[in-house]
Amino acid sequence: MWKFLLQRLLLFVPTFLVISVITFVLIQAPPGDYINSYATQLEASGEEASEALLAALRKRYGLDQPVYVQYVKWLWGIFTRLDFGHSMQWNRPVGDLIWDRLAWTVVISFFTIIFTWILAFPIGIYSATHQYSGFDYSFTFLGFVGAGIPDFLLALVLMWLGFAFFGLDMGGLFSEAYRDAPWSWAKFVDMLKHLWVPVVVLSVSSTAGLIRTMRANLLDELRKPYVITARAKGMTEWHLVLKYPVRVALNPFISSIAYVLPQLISGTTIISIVLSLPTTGPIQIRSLMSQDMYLAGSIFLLLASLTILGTFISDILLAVVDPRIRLE
Amino acid sequence: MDPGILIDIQKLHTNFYLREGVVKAVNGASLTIAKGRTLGVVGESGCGKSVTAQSILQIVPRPGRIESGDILLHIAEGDLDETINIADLNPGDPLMRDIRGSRISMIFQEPMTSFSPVHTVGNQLEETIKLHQPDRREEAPARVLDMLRRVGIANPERNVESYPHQLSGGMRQRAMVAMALMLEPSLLIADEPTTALDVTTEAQILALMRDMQSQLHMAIMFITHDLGVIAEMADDVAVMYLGRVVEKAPVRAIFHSPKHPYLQALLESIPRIQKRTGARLKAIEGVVPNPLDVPPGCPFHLRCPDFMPGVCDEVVPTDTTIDEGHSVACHLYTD
Amino acid sequence: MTAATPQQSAETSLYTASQWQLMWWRFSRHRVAVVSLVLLVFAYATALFAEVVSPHDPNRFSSSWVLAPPMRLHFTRPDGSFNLRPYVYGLTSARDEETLAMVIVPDETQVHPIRFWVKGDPYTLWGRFDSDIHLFGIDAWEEQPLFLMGADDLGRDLFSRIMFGARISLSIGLLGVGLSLLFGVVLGGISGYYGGLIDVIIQRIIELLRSLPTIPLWLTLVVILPPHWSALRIYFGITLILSLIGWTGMARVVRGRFLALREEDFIMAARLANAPQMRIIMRHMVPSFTSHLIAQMTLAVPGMILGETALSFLGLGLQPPVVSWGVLLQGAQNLRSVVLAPWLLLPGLFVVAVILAFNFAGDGLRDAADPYAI
Repeated sequence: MWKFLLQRLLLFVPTFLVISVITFVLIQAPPGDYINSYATQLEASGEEASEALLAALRKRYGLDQPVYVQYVKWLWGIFTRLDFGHSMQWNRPVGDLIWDRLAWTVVISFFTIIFTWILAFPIGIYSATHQYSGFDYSFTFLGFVGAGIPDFLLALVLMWLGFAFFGLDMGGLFSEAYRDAPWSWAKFVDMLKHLWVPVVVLSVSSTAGLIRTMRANLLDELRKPYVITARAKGMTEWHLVLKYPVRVALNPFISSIAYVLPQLISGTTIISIVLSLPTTGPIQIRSLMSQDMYLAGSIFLLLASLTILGTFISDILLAVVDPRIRLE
Repeated sequence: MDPGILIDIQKLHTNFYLREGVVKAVNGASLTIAKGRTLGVVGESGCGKSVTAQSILQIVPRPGRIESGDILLHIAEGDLDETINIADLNPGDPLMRDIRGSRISMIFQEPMTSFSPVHTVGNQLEETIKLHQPDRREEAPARVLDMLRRVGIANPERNVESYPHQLSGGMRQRAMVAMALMLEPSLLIADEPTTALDVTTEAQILALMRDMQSQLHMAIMFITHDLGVIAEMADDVAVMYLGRVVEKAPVRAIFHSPKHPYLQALLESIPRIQKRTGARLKAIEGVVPNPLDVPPGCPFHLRCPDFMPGVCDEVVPTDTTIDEGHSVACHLYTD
Repeated sequence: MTAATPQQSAETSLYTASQWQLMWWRFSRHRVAVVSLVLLVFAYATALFAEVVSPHDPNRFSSSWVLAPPMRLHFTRPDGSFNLRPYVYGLTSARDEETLAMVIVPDETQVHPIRFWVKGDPYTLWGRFDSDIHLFGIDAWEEQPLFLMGADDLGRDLFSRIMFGARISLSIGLLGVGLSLLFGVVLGGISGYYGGLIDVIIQRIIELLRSLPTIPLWLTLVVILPPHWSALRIYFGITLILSLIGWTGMARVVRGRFLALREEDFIMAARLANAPQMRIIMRHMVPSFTSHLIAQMTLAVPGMILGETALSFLGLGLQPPVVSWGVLLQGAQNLRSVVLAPWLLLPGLFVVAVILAFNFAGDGLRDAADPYAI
């Protein structure tokens, strides 16, 4: 098992490197750089952007150096002191800007995964054990509908309904009173009161997918001979279903972390715009538009690393749960 | 009921209700299993032998269910002497659950997939005790070890902790036998228990089953399509074709004086060493009819060499007694 | 045994039916899937004839109809009797008695019956045929536009804009899937047919791409498109970006099938008969998984449509004056405009309907494509 985990961990490093190269190439690819868009901004506001000033700025941010030097410096900073570079637009270190935003992305994704599991697990089991029942049909149908609604649209509709019928503003993560207050129990409760909106919105499509996965896997397992063995032993039906097939069908359920997480992070990015949440989504878009390359690049790199970390976590959990993997 | 009889099945009908129609998997089968003896049930795949076994335990998978008929289980233990009609019980009935695994247990063809892959062998064996004798659950680990030793599993202390995929095929089937015999049942149903094993392992498992039978005095219902195994294992034999029992007899009579044309044809199709070379092996004409569309009359008449028009394709033959314990369902033997 | 005869003939035809006939029979058993397919054909036909179907020019704006609400269709005459030809009331500006703001309200004195094939804004269909006849509309179209789904913030008819938006949104789905198919079949085929190192590399790339969060990736990629590009080039650029993720799904199906087929006896037989490799692939392997590919393609379209909608909604995809459902939804980006004019969410309803239809149809096709399903 340790060998297996070490293997997985070792795979993480090259993957990270590959992603960092891709990221750097991508953010370098657009024509021009931040200084160009800065000059345009200055000119628009009537100030003069002298060549000397622009050259000085380029030098200061290292943009005059060859691309690979910039890349190595950036990566070196990340590895040695977790320094993700400097945001030119905000004139602050990237780290200052993204850590708490990234934390919110993680918190929202975490709560959503938990919520998704709580919903999908029993519904999936019930649907599989009562295949072709009215309940099964309605959830299959609901699953299709859930998977077909874009999450940002759902967020918009929810916001609109909340406002039109209850006069609620469901955006943000805190009420006005707590926004800048220090952490307290009351602030935490206030957060939960707001957090459910993005969690529910994001979990709709992932729950739909997970119910389908759970149902399909469980149906496969229920046809396996070991179920008949258990039945022939004299176990009650619900006891044997919970002890055997559900336990085996847990594997695909756990691997779902690996593919649900990218989906959630992707969804968080877009619904954060609609619900004005303090995640990485809004600043990623702004930084991309103004070519604030280190900020944009670092956000993408970290989000991608998060999903790869998710794969790693699901591998660990799988090894814990399944002796066939653990003992190989 | 004859006190020597453990199970008496009368006119059992078990149907599967599919979208395409009704499959009569067991279509009026009757047979008896005597206490302490081995009944071999033989027939081609799809003849209903496995479904008959599943009916005895009321574990016919959906969409199948017992339609009619009787499955009488005779229980005689000390003062207790009663007869239960299993066919009248609901699959979820507590009494039925009591019977499964303790009075009647079953082993299956695939020892790999018949164990849960994510639970240890020990865990799955102890479960039988915990289910049926919850007040004696502390003894479970010791009894499991003892039973594993009895079925010839080496190093039982280590093997209880293993997962099924860590054992060899033969070991898994031994563990399967141990699990079935844990509560010393009066009937062991073995549904093609050696089909998935190689010949050497098969011989060992068969020997183990005979050995355990003599120790525990249980009856065995041995289901197979292999007449060689039947000759080795069975005391009595029931031959099934398309959901019906066409011939019942002690094992010697089956091989020495087969009556039903189907059984005769079946025996002719076995290659023999002493036969002269160059002769072609006989195969039974035609194919097994579509189970959705069973022909009227005798189920075998479409392939029968002795087909009598107007009789065989219209009237379902009933059992005719040939000899003590030997009966056949064929119009050739009715007067 | 007279009853067996029709069954037997049905059975014989079952054995002799071609793969496509079998697939169609199984597909037609899924009623929801069939309905979805019909709906999709209808939607694409509508998009093709957007100029004719929409009652107005999608760019005709007017300051007098800013955020005009949808008109109700009335089927009852003022006297209460039923009338098959629906009519709408004209709109007029009035002051809200409470808020004292100017609002647009129906004016019950103006009755406009809806007619088929009426004159309206002139258009050129497919850049070729000039006409001014629309499928439906009202006679007084010049003074009083028909707002079936309300008007946007420039007073343009939302329904007409949705019809034109369908053209972009629906075609981007098909085009994107087409590109994905191309990449997927080529790379998945190479991966599955040759195996070995090349397979490992392609599989790693697929794994990596699938583990990346799509929207952040798309956003990063979209920025690369030069801003001075024409709308058409941006359109193709975005399609290309969307299919960059989409091909991985296709490649998996193709590779999986190739791996399975390599072991099949009929491929071995073809190989023993010394058939050229290309012929084995094109004549024997590809036809045997075309049906799976079609199902997979149908299921991939929604992702493409959703991607375009999301990117355009965020303002990083297609830009006005191009009209797509995502661009239209940009108007509903903040709560204020949605509260003021909830009908701006209507393009979303079309997105959902089309995605659902594709999912249902694709699910039916996938079941039908399984040759062992019966």
